[in-house]
Amino acid sequence: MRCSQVRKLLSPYIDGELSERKAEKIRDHVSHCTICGEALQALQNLDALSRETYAHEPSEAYWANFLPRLHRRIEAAPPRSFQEKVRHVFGDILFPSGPWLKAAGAVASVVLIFFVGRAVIQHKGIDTLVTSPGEKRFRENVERVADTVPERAQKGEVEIEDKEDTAHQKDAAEREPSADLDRQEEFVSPPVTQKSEGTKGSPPVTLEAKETEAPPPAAQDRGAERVSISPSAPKEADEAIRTYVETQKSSKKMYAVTGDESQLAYEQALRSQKLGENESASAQFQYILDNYPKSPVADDAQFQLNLAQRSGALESQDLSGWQQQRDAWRDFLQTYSNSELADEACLRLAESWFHVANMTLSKEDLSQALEVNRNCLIKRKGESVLKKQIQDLEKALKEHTE
Amino acid sequence: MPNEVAASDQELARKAKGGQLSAFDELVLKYRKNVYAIAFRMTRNHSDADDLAQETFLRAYQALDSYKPGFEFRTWLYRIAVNASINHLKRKGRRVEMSLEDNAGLDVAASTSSYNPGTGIEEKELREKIETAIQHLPLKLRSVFLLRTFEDLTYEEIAHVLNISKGTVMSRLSRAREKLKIMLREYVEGKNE
Repeated sequence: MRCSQVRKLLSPYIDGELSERKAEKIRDHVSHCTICGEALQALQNLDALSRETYAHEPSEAYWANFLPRLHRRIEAAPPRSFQEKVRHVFGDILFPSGPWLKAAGAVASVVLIFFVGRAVIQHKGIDTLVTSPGEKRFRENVERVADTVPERAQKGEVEIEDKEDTAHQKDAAEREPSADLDRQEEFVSPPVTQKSEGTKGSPPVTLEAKETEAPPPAAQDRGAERVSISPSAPKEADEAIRTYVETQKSSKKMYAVTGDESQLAYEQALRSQKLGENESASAQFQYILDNYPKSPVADDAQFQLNLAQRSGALESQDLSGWQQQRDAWRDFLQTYSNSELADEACLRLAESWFHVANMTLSKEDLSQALEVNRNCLIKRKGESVLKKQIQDLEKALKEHTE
Repeated sequence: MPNEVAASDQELARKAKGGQLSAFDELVLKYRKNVYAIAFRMTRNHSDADDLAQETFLRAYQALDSYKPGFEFRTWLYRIAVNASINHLKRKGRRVEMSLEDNAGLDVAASTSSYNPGTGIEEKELREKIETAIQHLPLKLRSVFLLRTFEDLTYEEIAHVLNISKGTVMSRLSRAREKLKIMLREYVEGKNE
Protein backbone atom coordinates (compact mmCIF):
# COMPACT_ATOMS: atom_id res chain seq x y z
CA MET A 1 0.00 0.00 0.00
CA ARG A 2 1.38 3.41 -0.93
CA CYS A 3 1.67 6.30 1.50
CA SER A 4 -0.93 8.42 -0.31
CA GLN A 5 -3.46 5.58 -0.10
CA VAL A 6 -2.72 5.02 3.56
CA ARG A 7 -3.13 8.71 4.42
CA LYS A 8 -6.60 8.75 2.89
CA LEU A 9 -7.64 5.84 5.06
CA LEU A 10 -6.19 7.01 8.35
CA SER A 11 -9.33 8.89 9.36
CA PRO A 12 -11.71 5.92 8.94
CA TYR A 13 -8.98 3.73 10.44
CA ILE A 14 -9.00 5.56 13.78
CA ASP A 15 -12.79 5.43 13.74
CA GLY A 16 -12.75 1.67 13.29
CA GLU A 17 -14.67 1.99 10.07
CA LEU A 18 -12.34 -0.09 7.88
CA SER A 19 -12.61 -3.77 7.16
CA GLU A 20 -10.24 -5.94 9.14
CA ARG A 21 -8.23 -6.65 5.99
CA LYS A 22 -7.66 -2.96 5.26
CA ALA A 23 -6.99 -2.15 8.89
CA GLU A 24 -4.32 -4.83 8.95
CA LYS A 25 -2.66 -3.28 5.90
CA ILE A 26 -2.63 0.12 7.59
CA ARG A 27 -1.09 -1.35 10.73
CA ASP A 28 1.60 -3.05 8.67
CA HIS A 29 2.37 0.13 6.79
CA VAL A 30 2.61 2.50 9.75
CA SER A 31 4.80 0.04 11.65
CA HIS A 32 7.63 0.66 9.18
CA CYS A 33 6.74 4.10 7.66
CA THR A 34 7.71 6.89 10.05
CA ILE A 35 5.91 9.65 8.16
CA CYS A 36 2.61 7.83 8.00
CA GLY A 37 3.11 6.74 11.60
CA GLU A 38 3.45 10.36 12.64
CA ALA A 39 0.42 11.34 10.59
CA LEU A 40 -1.57 8.66 12.39
CA GLN A 41 -0.30 9.84 15.76
CA ALA A 42 -1.26 13.44 14.90
CA LEU A 43 -4.79 12.33 14.03
CA GLN A 44 -5.09 10.39 17.26
CA ASN A 45 -3.82 13.39 19.21
CA LEU A 46 -6.33 15.61 17.49
CA ASP A 47 -9.13 13.21 18.31
CA ALA A 48 -8.12 13.00 21.96
CA LEU A 49 -7.74 16.76 22.33
CA SER A 50 -11.04 17.48 20.61
CA ARG A 51 -12.90 15.22 23.01
CA GLU A 52 -11.56 17.23 25.91
CA THR A 53 -13.06 20.50 24.72
CA TYR A 54 -15.53 22.24 26.92
CA ALA A 55 -19.20 21.48 26.52
CA HIS A 56 -21.44 23.70 28.54
CA GLU A 57 -23.48 21.68 30.98
CA PRO A 58 -26.56 23.54 32.12
CA SER A 59 -27.70 23.22 35.70
CA GLU A 60 -30.22 20.74 37.04
CA ALA A 61 -32.62 23.65 37.49
CA TYR A 62 -32.35 24.35 33.80
CA TRP A 63 -33.17 20.75 32.94
CA ALA A 64 -36.01 20.68 35.42
CA ASN A 65 -37.55 23.59 33.59
CA PHE A 66 -36.85 22.26 30.11
CA LEU A 67 -39.91 20.09 29.70
CA PRO A 68 -42.46 22.56 31.14
CA ARG A 69 -41.06 25.21 28.84
CA LEU A 70 -41.33 22.87 25.89
CA HIS A 71 -44.96 22.13 26.79
CA ARG A 72 -45.68 25.86 26.86
CA ARG A 73 -44.01 26.23 23.51
CA ILE A 74 -45.92 23.35 21.98
CA GLU A 75 -49.17 24.85 23.20
CA ALA A 76 -48.26 28.27 21.86
CA ALA A 77 -47.02 27.04 18.49
CA PRO A 78 -49.28 27.48 15.53
CA PRO A 79 -50.44 24.27 13.94
CA ARG A 80 -48.57 22.95 10.95
CA SER A 81 -49.25 24.71 7.70
CA PHE A 82 -52.01 23.49 5.47
CA GLN A 83 -49.46 22.82 2.74
CA GLU A 84 -47.44 20.59 5.06
CA LYS A 85 -50.54 18.62 5.89
CA VAL A 86 -51.32 18.12 2.25
CA ARG A 87 -47.70 17.21 1.55
CA HIS A 88 -47.90 14.64 4.29
CA VAL A 89 -51.00 13.10 2.83
CA PHE A 90 -50.07 13.27 -0.82
CA GLY A 91 -46.28 13.15 -0.63
CA ASP A 92 -44.05 14.86 -3.16
CA ILE A 93 -46.44 14.28 -6.01
CA LEU A 94 -48.02 17.64 -5.27
CA PHE A 95 -44.75 19.36 -4.39
CA PRO A 96 -42.14 18.15 -6.86
CA SER A 97 -38.65 19.57 -6.99
CA GLY A 98 -37.48 21.86 -9.79
CA PRO A 99 -38.77 25.40 -10.29
CA TRP A 100 -41.16 24.73 -13.18
CA LEU A 101 -42.43 21.54 -11.72
CA LYS A 102 -42.95 23.33 -8.44
CA ALA A 103 -45.00 26.04 -10.13
CA ALA A 104 -47.04 23.49 -12.04
CA GLY A 105 -47.41 21.41 -8.92
CA ALA A 106 -48.59 24.40 -6.93
CA VAL A 107 -51.33 25.18 -9.44
CA ALA A 108 -52.39 21.56 -9.54
CA SER A 109 -52.28 21.46 -5.75
CA VAL A 110 -54.63 24.41 -5.40
CA VAL A 111 -57.14 22.75 -7.71
CA LEU A 112 -56.79 19.42 -5.99
CA ILE A 113 -56.93 20.88 -2.50
CA PHE A 114 -60.11 22.68 -3.45
CA PHE A 115 -61.90 19.60 -4.68
CA VAL A 116 -60.54 17.21 -2.07
CA GLY A 117 -61.13 19.77 0.66
CA ARG A 118 -64.70 20.33 -0.45
CA ALA A 119 -65.33 16.59 -0.61
CA VAL A 120 -63.83 15.97 2.83
CA ILE A 121 -65.53 18.90 4.48
CA GLN A 122 -68.92 18.12 3.02
CA HIS A 123 -68.53 14.51 4.02
CA LYS A 124 -66.91 14.76 7.48
CA GLY A 125 -66.17 18.36 8.31
CA ILE A 126 -62.91 20.27 8.54
CA ASP A 127 -62.03 18.67 11.90
CA THR A 128 -60.95 15.52 10.13
CA LEU A 129 -57.94 17.39 8.81
CA VAL A 130 -56.77 18.24 12.28
CA THR A 131 -55.19 15.43 14.21
CA SER A 132 -52.25 16.38 16.38
CA PRO A 133 -52.79 17.06 20.11
CA GLY A 134 -51.37 20.58 19.83
CA GLU A 135 -53.77 21.42 17.06
CA LYS A 136 -56.70 19.98 18.94
CA ARG A 137 -55.88 22.22 21.85
CA PHE A 138 -55.46 25.12 19.49
CA ARG A 139 -58.82 24.54 17.92
CA GLU A 140 -60.44 24.23 21.31
CA ASN A 141 -59.02 27.62 22.16
CA VAL A 142 -60.33 29.07 18.94
CA GLU A 143 -63.77 27.69 19.59
CA ARG A 144 -63.78 28.77 23.23
CA VAL A 145 -62.76 32.29 22.34
CA ALA A 146 -65.08 32.43 19.38
CA ASP A 147 -67.95 31.42 21.64
CA THR A 148 -67.29 34.32 23.95
CA VAL A 149 -66.96 36.95 21.25
CA PRO A 150 -70.62 37.99 21.02
CA GLU A 151 -70.97 38.28 24.80
CA ARG A 152 -67.74 40.19 25.13
CA ALA A 153 -68.71 42.47 22.28
CA GLN A 154 -71.87 43.33 24.16
CA LYS A 155 -69.92 44.09 27.32
CA GLY A 156 -67.50 46.21 25.36
CA GLU A 157 -64.58 43.92 26.14
CA VAL A 158 -63.93 43.32 22.50
CA GLU A 159 -64.30 45.63 19.59
CA ILE A 160 -65.66 44.41 16.32
CA GLU A 161 -63.88 46.07 13.49
CA ASP A 162 -64.63 46.13 9.81
CA LYS A 163 -62.63 44.21 7.26
CA GLU A 164 -61.08 47.27 5.70
CA ASP A 165 -59.48 48.21 8.99
CA THR A 166 -58.16 44.68 9.43
CA ALA A 167 -56.67 44.78 5.95
CA HIS A 168 -55.01 48.05 6.79
CA GLN A 169 -53.48 46.59 9.94
CA LYS A 170 -52.36 43.54 8.03
CA ASP A 171 -50.64 45.76 5.47
CA ALA A 172 -49.00 47.73 8.22
CA ALA A 173 -47.82 44.53 9.89
CA GLU A 174 -46.31 43.37 6.62
CA ARG A 175 -44.51 46.66 6.18
CA GLU A 176 -43.00 46.34 9.65
CA PRO A 177 -42.37 42.69 10.29
CA SER A 178 -40.52 43.22 13.55
CA ALA A 179 -42.77 43.30 16.56
CA ASP A 180 -43.59 46.80 17.67
CA LEU A 181 -44.63 46.50 21.24
CA ASP A 182 -46.18 49.88 21.48
CA ARG A 183 -48.76 48.88 18.97
CA GLN A 184 -51.36 47.02 20.87
CA GLU A 185 -52.74 45.22 17.85
CA GLU A 186 -49.55 43.22 17.51
CA PHE A 187 -50.49 41.45 20.70
CA VAL A 188 -54.13 42.00 21.31
CA SER A 189 -55.97 42.36 18.05
CA PRO A 190 -56.31 38.88 16.70
CA PRO A 191 -58.19 38.82 13.43
CA VAL A 192 -60.38 35.98 14.52
CA THR A 193 -62.81 34.70 12.01
CA GLN A 194 -66.20 33.89 13.41
CA LYS A 195 -68.27 31.20 11.88
CA SER A 196 -70.99 30.71 14.46
CA GLU A 197 -74.02 32.91 14.70
CA GLY A 198 -73.94 33.60 18.38
CA THR A 199 -74.01 31.47 21.49
CA LYS A 200 -76.60 30.30 23.94
CA GLY A 201 -77.76 32.95 26.27
CA SER A 202 -76.53 35.81 24.21
CA PRO A 203 -78.15 37.62 21.37
CA PRO A 204 -76.84 36.67 17.95
CA VAL A 205 -74.22 38.93 16.47
CA THR A 206 -74.71 40.05 12.94
CA LEU A 207 -71.85 38.64 10.97
CA GLU A 208 -71.63 41.42 8.44
CA ALA A 209 -69.26 43.95 9.94
CA LYS A 210 -70.98 46.88 8.29
CA GLU A 211 -74.24 45.92 9.98
CA THR A 212 -72.69 45.63 13.41
CA GLU A 213 -73.58 48.28 15.91
CA ALA A 214 -70.81 50.58 17.02
CA PRO A 215 -69.03 49.21 20.09
CA PRO A 216 -69.49 50.94 23.43
CA PRO A 217 -66.89 53.60 24.31
CA ALA A 218 -65.15 51.20 26.68
CA ALA A 219 -64.01 49.23 23.70
CA GLN A 220 -61.93 52.15 22.56
CA ASP A 221 -59.69 51.74 25.58
CA ARG A 222 -56.11 50.72 24.97
CA GLY A 223 -56.63 47.42 26.73
CA ALA A 224 -59.75 46.45 24.87
CA GLU A 225 -59.36 43.44 22.64
CA ARG A 226 -60.38 44.01 19.08
CA VAL A 227 -61.72 41.17 17.07
CA SER A 228 -62.62 41.26 13.44
CA ILE A 229 -65.54 39.24 12.24
CA SER A 230 -65.53 38.56 8.58
CA PRO A 231 -68.60 37.60 6.60
CA SER A 232 -68.61 33.90 6.00
CA ALA A 233 -70.62 31.22 4.37
CA PRO A 234 -69.69 28.16 6.38
CA LYS A 235 -71.39 25.71 4.15
CA GLU A 236 -69.24 26.62 1.19
CA ALA A 237 -66.18 24.42 1.14
CA ASP A 238 -63.86 26.98 -0.41
CA GLU A 239 -64.85 29.53 2.18
CA ALA A 240 -64.24 26.98 4.91
CA ILE A 241 -60.75 26.29 3.60
CA ARG A 242 -60.03 30.01 3.45
CA THR A 243 -61.29 30.42 6.98
CA TYR A 244 -59.18 27.54 8.17
CA VAL A 245 -56.04 28.95 6.57
CA GLU A 246 -56.79 32.42 7.93
CA THR A 247 -57.32 30.99 11.38
CA GLN A 248 -53.96 29.31 11.22
CA LYS A 249 -52.31 32.53 10.12
CA SER A 250 -53.74 34.32 13.10
CA SER A 251 -52.92 31.59 15.58
CA LYS A 252 -50.19 33.59 17.29
CA LYS A 253 -52.58 36.43 17.93
CA MET A 254 -55.22 34.05 19.24
CA TYR A 255 -53.23 33.63 22.38
CA ALA A 256 -53.66 37.28 23.11
CA VAL A 257 -57.38 36.70 23.41
CA THR A 258 -56.90 33.83 25.83
CA GLY A 259 -55.44 36.35 28.25
CA ASP A 260 -51.87 35.05 28.47
CA GLU A 261 -50.36 38.09 26.82
CA SER A 262 -47.11 38.04 28.73
CA GLN A 263 -46.51 34.48 27.59
CA LEU A 264 -47.18 35.51 24.03
CA ALA A 265 -44.87 38.49 24.35
CA TYR A 266 -42.22 36.21 25.78
CA GLU A 267 -42.55 33.80 22.89
CA GLN A 268 -42.34 36.73 20.48
CA ALA A 269 -39.22 37.99 22.21
CA LEU A 270 -37.60 34.57 21.98
CA ARG A 271 -38.40 34.44 18.29
CA SER A 272 -36.80 37.85 17.79
CA GLN A 273 -33.79 36.68 19.72
CA LYS A 274 -33.57 33.59 17.58
CA LEU A 275 -33.62 35.72 14.46
CA GLY A 276 -30.71 37.72 15.81
CA GLU A 277 -32.86 40.79 16.44
CA ASN A 278 -31.29 41.28 19.82
CA GLU A 279 -32.33 44.86 20.35
CA SER A 280 -35.91 44.08 19.53
CA ALA A 281 -35.80 41.02 21.78
CA SER A 282 -34.41 43.04 24.67
CA ALA A 283 -37.11 45.66 24.18
CA GLN A 284 -39.73 42.94 24.32
CA PHE A 285 -38.30 41.37 27.46
CA GLN A 286 -38.29 44.82 29.02
CA TYR A 287 -41.87 45.31 27.89
CA ILE A 288 -42.88 42.17 29.78
CA LEU A 289 -41.15 43.39 32.92
CA ASP A 290 -42.76 46.81 32.67
CA ASN A 291 -46.25 45.61 31.91
CA TYR A 292 -46.47 42.17 33.49
CA PRO A 293 -44.17 42.25 36.52
CA LYS A 294 -46.19 39.49 38.21
CA SER A 295 -46.24 37.22 35.20
CA PRO A 296 -44.84 33.70 35.56
CA VAL A 297 -42.44 34.53 32.75
CA ALA A 298 -41.16 37.74 34.35
CA ASP A 299 -38.14 35.96 35.80
CA ASP A 300 -37.44 34.34 32.44
CA ALA A 301 -37.62 37.75 30.79
CA GLN A 302 -35.28 39.32 33.33
CA PHE A 303 -32.95 36.36 33.01
CA GLN A 304 -32.83 36.72 29.23
CA LEU A 305 -32.22 40.45 29.54
CA ASN A 306 -29.32 39.85 31.88
CA LEU A 307 -27.91 37.22 29.55
CA ALA A 308 -28.09 39.68 26.66
CA GLN A 309 -26.14 42.20 28.73
CA ARG A 310 -23.67 39.47 29.57
CA SER A 311 -22.88 39.01 25.87
CA GLY A 312 -22.07 42.71 25.75
CA ALA A 313 -19.81 42.41 28.80
CA LEU A 314 -18.05 39.41 27.31
CA GLU A 315 -17.42 41.30 24.11
CA SER A 316 -16.31 44.61 25.56
CA GLN A 317 -14.47 43.10 28.54
CA ASP A 318 -14.47 46.37 30.42
CA LEU A 319 -14.92 46.78 34.13
CA SER A 320 -18.17 48.71 33.99
CA GLY A 321 -19.77 45.99 31.86
CA TRP A 322 -18.99 43.33 34.43
CA GLN A 323 -20.01 45.57 37.31
CA GLN A 324 -23.37 46.06 35.64
CA GLN A 325 -23.64 42.31 35.19
CA ARG A 326 -22.83 41.74 38.84
CA ASP A 327 -25.51 44.22 39.92
CA ALA A 328 -28.02 42.81 37.47
CA TRP A 329 -27.64 39.25 38.78
CA ARG A 330 -27.67 40.44 42.37
CA ASP A 331 -30.96 42.22 41.70
CA PHE A 332 -32.29 39.15 39.97
CA LEU A 333 -31.56 36.95 42.97
CA GLN A 334 -33.17 39.45 45.30
CA THR A 335 -36.28 39.87 43.19
CA TYR A 336 -36.74 36.28 42.09
CA SER A 337 -35.23 34.34 44.96
CA ASN A 338 -37.67 31.45 44.41
CA SER A 339 -37.17 31.27 40.67
CA GLU A 340 -36.12 28.02 39.09
CA LEU A 341 -33.43 30.05 37.42
CA ALA A 342 -31.93 31.23 40.71
CA ASP A 343 -29.15 28.63 40.66
CA GLU A 344 -28.16 29.60 37.16
CA ALA A 345 -28.27 33.27 38.17
CA CYS A 346 -26.04 32.49 41.13
CA LEU A 347 -23.51 31.03 38.72
CA ARG A 348 -23.63 34.17 36.62
CA LEU A 349 -23.25 36.35 39.70
CA ALA A 350 -20.16 34.39 40.71
CA GLU A 351 -18.79 34.78 37.21
CA SER A 352 -19.41 38.55 37.21
CA TRP A 353 -17.71 38.91 40.57
CA PHE A 354 -14.79 36.88 39.29
CA HIS A 355 -14.31 39.20 36.32
CA VAL A 356 -14.72 42.34 38.39
CA ALA A 357 -12.16 41.17 40.94
CA ASN A 358 -9.89 40.04 38.14
CA MET A 359 -9.91 43.56 36.73
CA THR A 360 -9.73 45.67 39.87
CA LEU A 361 -7.43 43.23 41.71
CA SER A 362 -8.43 44.96 44.92
CA LYS A 363 -8.31 42.84 48.03
CA GLU A 364 -11.85 43.74 48.92
CA ASP A 365 -13.23 42.66 45.54
CA LEU A 366 -11.15 39.48 45.52
CA SER A 367 -12.44 38.51 48.97
CA GLN A 368 -16.02 39.30 48.04
CA ALA A 369 -15.71 37.41 44.76
CA LEU A 370 -14.25 34.43 46.57
CA GLU A 371 -17.09 34.38 49.06
CA VAL A 372 -19.76 34.61 46.36
CA ASN A 373 -18.10 31.84 44.38
CA ARG A 374 -17.83 29.62 47.44
CA ASN A 375 -21.48 30.21 48.34
CA CYS A 376 -22.49 29.38 44.83
CA LEU A 377 -20.47 26.18 44.87
CA ILE A 378 -22.56 25.00 47.82
CA LYS A 379 -25.61 25.17 45.59
CA ARG A 380 -23.87 24.02 42.46
CA LYS A 381 -21.68 21.20 43.68
CA GLY A 382 -19.37 19.80 41.09
CA GLU A 383 -19.46 22.90 38.89
CA SER A 384 -15.93 22.83 37.50
CA VAL A 385 -16.03 26.47 36.37
CA LEU A 386 -16.69 27.59 39.91
CA LYS A 387 -13.91 25.43 41.30
CA LYS A 388 -11.51 26.93 38.81
CA GLN A 389 -12.62 30.45 39.63
CA ILE A 390 -12.23 29.80 43.34
CA GLN A 391 -8.78 28.37 42.79
CA ASP A 392 -7.74 31.42 40.79
CA LEU A 393 -9.20 33.84 43.29
CA GLU A 394 -7.46 32.12 46.18
CA LYS A 395 -4.15 32.35 44.35
CA ALA A 396 -4.71 35.99 43.55
CA LEU A 397 -5.64 36.78 47.11
CA LYS A 398 -2.57 34.96 48.36
CA GLU A 399 -0.36 36.92 45.97
CA HIS A 400 -2.03 40.09 47.10
CA THR A 401 -1.31 39.32 50.74
CA GLU A 402 2.32 38.42 50.04
CA MET B 1 -27.02 1.85 19.26
CA PRO B 2 -28.42 -1.41 20.62
CA ASN B 3 -31.45 -2.66 18.75
CA GLU B 4 -33.63 -2.90 21.85
CA VAL B 5 -33.03 0.79 22.64
CA ALA B 6 -33.93 1.81 19.10
CA ALA B 7 -37.01 -0.42 19.30
CA SER B 8 -38.16 1.18 22.55
CA ASP B 9 -37.66 4.63 21.01
CA GLN B 10 -39.74 3.62 18.08
CA GLU B 11 -42.45 2.32 20.35
CA LEU B 12 -42.46 5.61 22.26
CA ALA B 13 -42.52 7.55 19.00
CA ARG B 14 -45.44 5.44 17.82
CA LYS B 15 -47.35 6.21 21.02
CA ALA B 16 -46.48 9.88 20.77
CA LYS B 17 -47.70 9.88 17.20
CA GLY B 18 -50.95 8.45 18.50
CA GLY B 19 -51.34 11.45 20.78
CA GLN B 20 -49.68 10.28 24.01
CA LEU B 21 -47.78 13.32 25.16
CA SER B 22 -46.23 11.34 28.02
CA ALA B 23 -44.48 9.09 25.50
CA PHE B 24 -43.08 12.13 23.75
CA ASP B 25 -41.97 13.49 27.13
CA GLU B 26 -39.98 10.32 27.71
CA LEU B 27 -38.18 10.81 24.45
CA VAL B 28 -37.48 14.43 25.35
CA LEU B 29 -36.07 13.44 28.72
CA LYS B 30 -33.92 10.80 27.08
CA TYR B 31 -32.41 12.96 24.36
CA ARG B 32 -32.60 16.55 25.59
CA LYS B 33 -28.96 16.60 26.70
CA ASN B 34 -27.68 15.16 23.43
CA VAL B 35 -29.76 17.59 21.41
CA TYR B 36 -28.61 20.49 23.55
CA ALA B 37 -24.98 19.35 23.22
CA ILE B 38 -25.24 19.21 19.43
CA ALA B 39 -26.73 22.70 19.31
CA PHE B 40 -24.19 24.05 21.78
CA ARG B 41 -21.25 22.59 19.91
CA MET B 42 -22.57 24.04 16.69
CA THR B 43 -23.22 27.51 18.10
CA ARG B 44 -20.98 27.75 21.19
CA ASN B 45 -23.69 29.78 22.88
CA HIS B 46 -25.99 28.66 25.68
CA SER B 47 -28.87 30.91 24.73
CA ASP B 48 -28.83 29.75 21.11
CA ALA B 49 -28.37 26.13 22.12
CA ASP B 50 -31.29 26.35 24.52
CA ASP B 51 -33.54 27.84 21.91
CA LEU B 52 -32.44 25.34 19.27
CA ALA B 53 -32.94 22.40 21.61
CA GLN B 54 -36.47 23.58 22.35
CA GLU B 55 -37.11 24.22 18.69
CA THR B 56 -35.82 20.77 17.75
CA PHE B 57 -38.29 19.04 20.04
CA LEU B 58 -41.08 21.34 18.99
CA ARG B 59 -40.42 20.54 15.34
CA ALA B 60 -40.13 16.85 16.12
CA TYR B 61 -43.47 16.97 17.91
CA GLN B 62 -45.09 18.77 15.02
CA ALA B 63 -43.55 16.39 12.50
CA LEU B 64 -44.40 13.17 14.32
CA ASP B 65 -46.89 12.38 11.60
CA SER B 66 -44.08 12.19 9.09
CA TYR B 67 -41.85 10.03 11.30
CA LYS B 68 -41.55 6.63 9.73
CA PRO B 69 -41.36 3.72 12.16
CA GLY B 70 -38.32 1.71 11.25
CA PHE B 71 -36.19 4.81 10.99
CA GLU B 72 -34.09 5.20 14.10
CA PHE B 73 -35.69 7.92 16.21
CA ARG B 74 -32.39 9.24 17.52
CA THR B 75 -30.95 9.90 14.06
CA TRP B 76 -34.23 11.41 12.94
CA LEU B 77 -34.13 13.77 15.93
CA TYR B 78 -30.47 14.61 15.39
CA ARG B 79 -31.22 15.47 11.80
CA ILE B 80 -33.75 18.03 12.97
CA ALA B 81 -31.26 19.40 15.50
CA VAL B 82 -28.40 19.70 13.01
CA ASN B 83 -30.60 21.27 10.35
CA ALA B 84 -32.05 23.73 12.85
CA SER B 85 -28.54 24.66 14.00
CA ILE B 86 -27.24 25.08 10.46
CA ASN B 87 -30.23 27.18 9.47
CA HIS B 88 -29.82 29.27 12.58
CA LEU B 89 -26.14 29.91 11.88
CA LYS B 90 -26.84 30.72 8.26
CA ARG B 91 -29.53 33.17 9.28
CA LYS B 92 -27.29 34.82 11.76
CA GLY B 93 -24.35 34.75 9.39
CA ARG B 94 -22.34 33.95 12.41
CA ARG B 95 -19.28 32.31 10.92
CA VAL B 96 -16.38 33.19 13.12
CA GLU B 97 -14.31 35.59 11.10
CA MET B 98 -11.48 36.08 13.50
CA SER B 99 -8.17 34.36 13.02
CA LEU B 100 -6.95 31.99 15.66
CA GLU B 101 -4.52 34.63 16.88
CA ASP B 102 -7.26 37.25 17.12
CA ASN B 103 -9.47 34.93 19.02
CA ALA B 104 -6.74 34.03 21.43
CA GLY B 105 -6.73 37.65 22.46
CA LEU B 106 -10.40 37.88 23.22
CA ASP B 107 -12.08 35.47 25.57
CA VAL B 108 -8.93 33.64 26.50
CA ALA B 109 -7.07 36.75 27.53
CA ALA B 110 -10.09 38.04 29.34
CA SER B 111 -10.97 34.98 31.27
CA THR B 112 -7.46 33.89 32.13
CA SER B 113 -6.14 36.67 34.21
CA SER B 114 -2.59 37.76 34.80
CA TYR B 115 -2.61 35.97 38.12
CA ASN B 116 -3.32 32.53 36.73
CA PRO B 117 0.07 30.95 36.56
CA GLY B 118 0.82 27.33 35.84
CA THR B 119 -0.58 24.84 33.43
CA GLY B 120 -4.15 26.09 33.88
CA ILE B 121 -3.67 28.79 31.29
CA GLU B 122 -2.05 26.48 28.78
CA GLU B 123 -4.82 23.95 29.07
CA LYS B 124 -7.52 26.54 28.80
CA GLU B 125 -5.82 28.28 25.91
CA LEU B 126 -5.41 25.02 24.11
CA ARG B 127 -9.02 24.14 24.66
CA GLU B 128 -10.11 27.53 23.41
CA LYS B 129 -7.94 27.17 20.32
CA ILE B 130 -9.38 23.78 19.53
CA GLU B 131 -12.91 25.08 19.98
CA THR B 132 -12.17 28.05 17.75
CA ALA B 133 -10.59 25.84 15.13
CA ILE B 134 -13.70 23.65 15.11
CA GLN B 135 -15.81 26.78 14.71
CA HIS B 136 -13.72 27.69 11.68
CA LEU B 137 -14.74 24.54 9.87
CA PRO B 138 -17.37 25.00 7.18
CA LEU B 139 -20.79 23.94 8.48
CA LYS B 140 -20.90 20.76 6.43
CA LEU B 141 -17.58 19.56 7.76
CA ARG B 142 -18.28 20.78 11.26
CA SER B 143 -21.54 18.87 11.60
CA VAL B 144 -19.93 15.60 10.48
CA PHE B 145 -16.98 16.13 12.80
CA LEU B 146 -19.16 16.95 15.81
CA LEU B 147 -21.48 14.00 15.30
CA ARG B 148 -18.52 11.64 15.08
CA THR B 149 -16.35 13.07 17.82
CA PHE B 150 -18.89 14.04 20.44
CA GLU B 151 -21.92 11.90 19.73
CA ASP B 152 -19.86 8.84 18.73
CA LEU B 153 -22.11 8.14 15.80
CA THR B 154 -20.96 5.61 13.23
CA TYR B 155 -20.48 6.69 9.63
CA GLU B 156 -23.72 5.02 8.72
CA GLU B 157 -25.62 6.85 11.43
CA ILE B 158 -24.09 10.16 10.41
CA ALA B 159 -25.09 9.40 6.83
CA HIS B 160 -28.69 8.95 8.02
CA VAL B 161 -28.65 12.10 10.11
CA LEU B 162 -27.32 14.29 7.34
CA ASN B 163 -28.99 12.43 4.50
CA ILE B 164 -25.72 11.91 2.66
CA SER B 165 -23.83 8.80 1.58
CA LYS B 166 -21.40 6.96 3.79
CA GLY B 167 -18.62 7.81 1.35
CA THR B 168 -19.41 11.50 1.71
CA VAL B 169 -19.26 11.16 5.49
CA MET B 170 -15.82 9.58 5.18
CA SER B 171 -14.45 12.25 2.86
CA ARG B 172 -15.95 15.16 4.87
CA LEU B 173 -14.55 13.77 8.08
CA SER B 174 -11.11 13.32 6.54
CA ARG B 175 -11.21 16.88 5.22
CA ALA B 176 -12.37 18.24 8.55
CA ARG B 177 -9.53 16.51 10.35
CA GLU B 178 -6.97 17.65 7.80
CA LYS B 179 -8.09 21.24 8.24
CA LEU B 180 -7.99 20.96 12.01
CA LYS B 181 -4.57 19.37 11.87
CA ILE B 182 -3.28 22.33 9.87
CA MET B 183 -4.86 24.86 12.22
CA LEU B 184 -3.62 23.07 15.32
CA ARG B 185 -0.34 21.78 13.94
CA GLU B 186 1.77 22.88 16.88
CA TYR B 187 -0.44 21.01 19.33
CA VAL B 188 -1.10 17.75 17.56
CA GLU B 189 2.15 17.02 15.75
CA GLY B 190 5.20 15.54 17.37
CA LYS B 191 3.38 14.71 20.60
CA ASN B 192 3.55 11.03 21.27
CA GLU B 193 1.23 9.93 23.99
